[in-house]
Amino acid sequence: MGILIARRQIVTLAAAAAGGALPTLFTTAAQAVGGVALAVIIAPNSKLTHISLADLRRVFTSERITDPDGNALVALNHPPRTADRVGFDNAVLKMEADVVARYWIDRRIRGRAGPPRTVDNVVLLRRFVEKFSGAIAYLRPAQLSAEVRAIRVDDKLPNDPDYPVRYVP
Amino acid sequence: MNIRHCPVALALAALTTALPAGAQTPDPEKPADASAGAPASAAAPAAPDAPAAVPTPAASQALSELPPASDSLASEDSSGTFALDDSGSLDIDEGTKLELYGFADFNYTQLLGSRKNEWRQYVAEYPSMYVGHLNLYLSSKLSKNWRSLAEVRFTYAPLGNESKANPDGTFQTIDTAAADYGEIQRTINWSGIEIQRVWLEYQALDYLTIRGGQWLTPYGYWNDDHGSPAIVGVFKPYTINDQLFPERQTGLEAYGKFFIDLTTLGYFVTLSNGRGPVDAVRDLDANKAIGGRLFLETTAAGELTVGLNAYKGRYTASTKHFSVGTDDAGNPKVVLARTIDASYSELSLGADVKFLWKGLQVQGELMMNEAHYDDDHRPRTVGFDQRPTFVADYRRIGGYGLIGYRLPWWTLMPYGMVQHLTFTNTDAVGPVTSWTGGINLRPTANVVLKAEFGIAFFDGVGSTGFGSDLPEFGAQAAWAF
Repeated sequence: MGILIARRQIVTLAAAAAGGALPTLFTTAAQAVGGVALAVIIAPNSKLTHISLADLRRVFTSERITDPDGNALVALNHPPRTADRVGFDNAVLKMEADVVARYWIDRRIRGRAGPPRTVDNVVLLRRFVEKFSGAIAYLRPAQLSAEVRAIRVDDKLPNDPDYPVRYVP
Repeated sequence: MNIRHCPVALALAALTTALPAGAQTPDPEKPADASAGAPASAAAPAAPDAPAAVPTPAASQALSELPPASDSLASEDSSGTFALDDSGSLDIDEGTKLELYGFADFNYTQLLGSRKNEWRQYVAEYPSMYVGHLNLYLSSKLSKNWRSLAEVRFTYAPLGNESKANPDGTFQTIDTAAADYGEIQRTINWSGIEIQRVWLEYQALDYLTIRGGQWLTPYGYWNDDHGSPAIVGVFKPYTINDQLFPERQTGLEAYGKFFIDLTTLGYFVTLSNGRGPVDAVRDLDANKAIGGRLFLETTAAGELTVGLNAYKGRYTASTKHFSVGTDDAGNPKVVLARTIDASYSELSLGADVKFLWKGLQVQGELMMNEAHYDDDHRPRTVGFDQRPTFVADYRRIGGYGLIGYRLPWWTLMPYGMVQHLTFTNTDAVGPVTSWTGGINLRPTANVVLKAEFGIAFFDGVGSTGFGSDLPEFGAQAAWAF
């Protein structure tokens, strides 16, 4: 534990010294394989360790999926048409921004549940994921903090070459 | 629009404290319950001397400030946004919220062809413009597992209705004119509303939700798409319009989904009053209708959905009347009774398929509906033929196939549709096959512009002598708000 904390402090100090511009090992690895990886995050104390891309898609299309604790996963999105949101929708939902907008409008007309809520601030997003059981969201690896934990998607992590939640800006 | 009723603020105390303890980098592989990887959140307080609360510039940046992917920031696909309040606390107000939204459409319809075609005289002799739908939704997530939805259509009906013929050969036109007491007796035409659906549902399990109220019958796609912005074409297929399955029912519905990798298996089971003249408010027989839908979706290649649908129920129409009788003591008393005017049992079966791949949309529904009248309650035919005959048992078979492709330019979708219906429930119209071609333009996600031309070929003129073909043009501007 102590070693782990010390290592985190070093990384944090390094990041702070570089004004936050220093990429993490995640980012470096992700950049090496091309594109922007988005880490799927949950609360640190969640028992959820991995999710399939198909289930991730279901969660972000407001289908009910529960985690090992029995909590319904609650998706939190980035605001529409922001870069990572568009990239996430492309990679996970397989939809362009315009298609996503049409999808949710049509879905509401059908009387189904609406889209996930959006959070327009990284700090807020991490805090919400940390405190709200079942919350699930996504961030760039450089935006990770101790408040949240990244999980595997299709058994892959963001630094794996074939990690599926990745987009080319 | 959100209307907050009873704020149950989960104003998490922890969230009102300091901002997070920095941009530490967790080990993403660390299991939450591993001893070496105690919850990362526990590590944060243990490092008071770390450069606290130093989120990277990227981390502190509002996501909405990241470069947008397009010029316009859309808000059409969000149920709401969490935000910091004035004090910097996280306001997680999960109280009951009422969402109001809806759709409307403005239409132009013109029946083409000869003026001698009686269809043109009967339906609409002249081209007309009208607002077809103004539907308002009231949706509310009442709690974690409870949700309610109501949808109301505002309509000009019954204004201008001419469906009833008088014995003297004239058609009765319904005039809803009334004097407006609030505007010094100005004449107004009052109109109506139609409740489209209103239900309360409870999600008991991941794979079980129970719904009670009035709901759209779960079958196929067109009835589910329901609203003009979500529907590709201007006019409904005959099979949908003629309700081989009832459009909506009142009762209980259970539904759910099972997820297996890329495949979803879903079901609906329904129990309702069944079809009847006043089924939304009263069942006129003891029989309850049952129905259901099974469907399978897969995203292995595009999005493929196939479904099977069934409905079995009993229709009864009756008239309540009273007479004056006597009780055991010979005193007069009122006797109430009902006379059954018509009754039949019916069965509807259907199958459907839908395939989406990039801009391609292919869908089709095939269905049949058969009715067996009780001989004691078999009604007289209603039509222009005055000879005394009784309605026969019937089996209607129909379906449609639609193909469209959303082009990358101007989000334009050319589409084509072919449909068929036997219309065996009436001798007024023969079997029909119709071909339709049109375009569907969606300049923004909320606005849909459509134009289509169709021609219906009837197998004969039917007992009414109406025309054997019916060309028509329709255009529609539909929008969601």
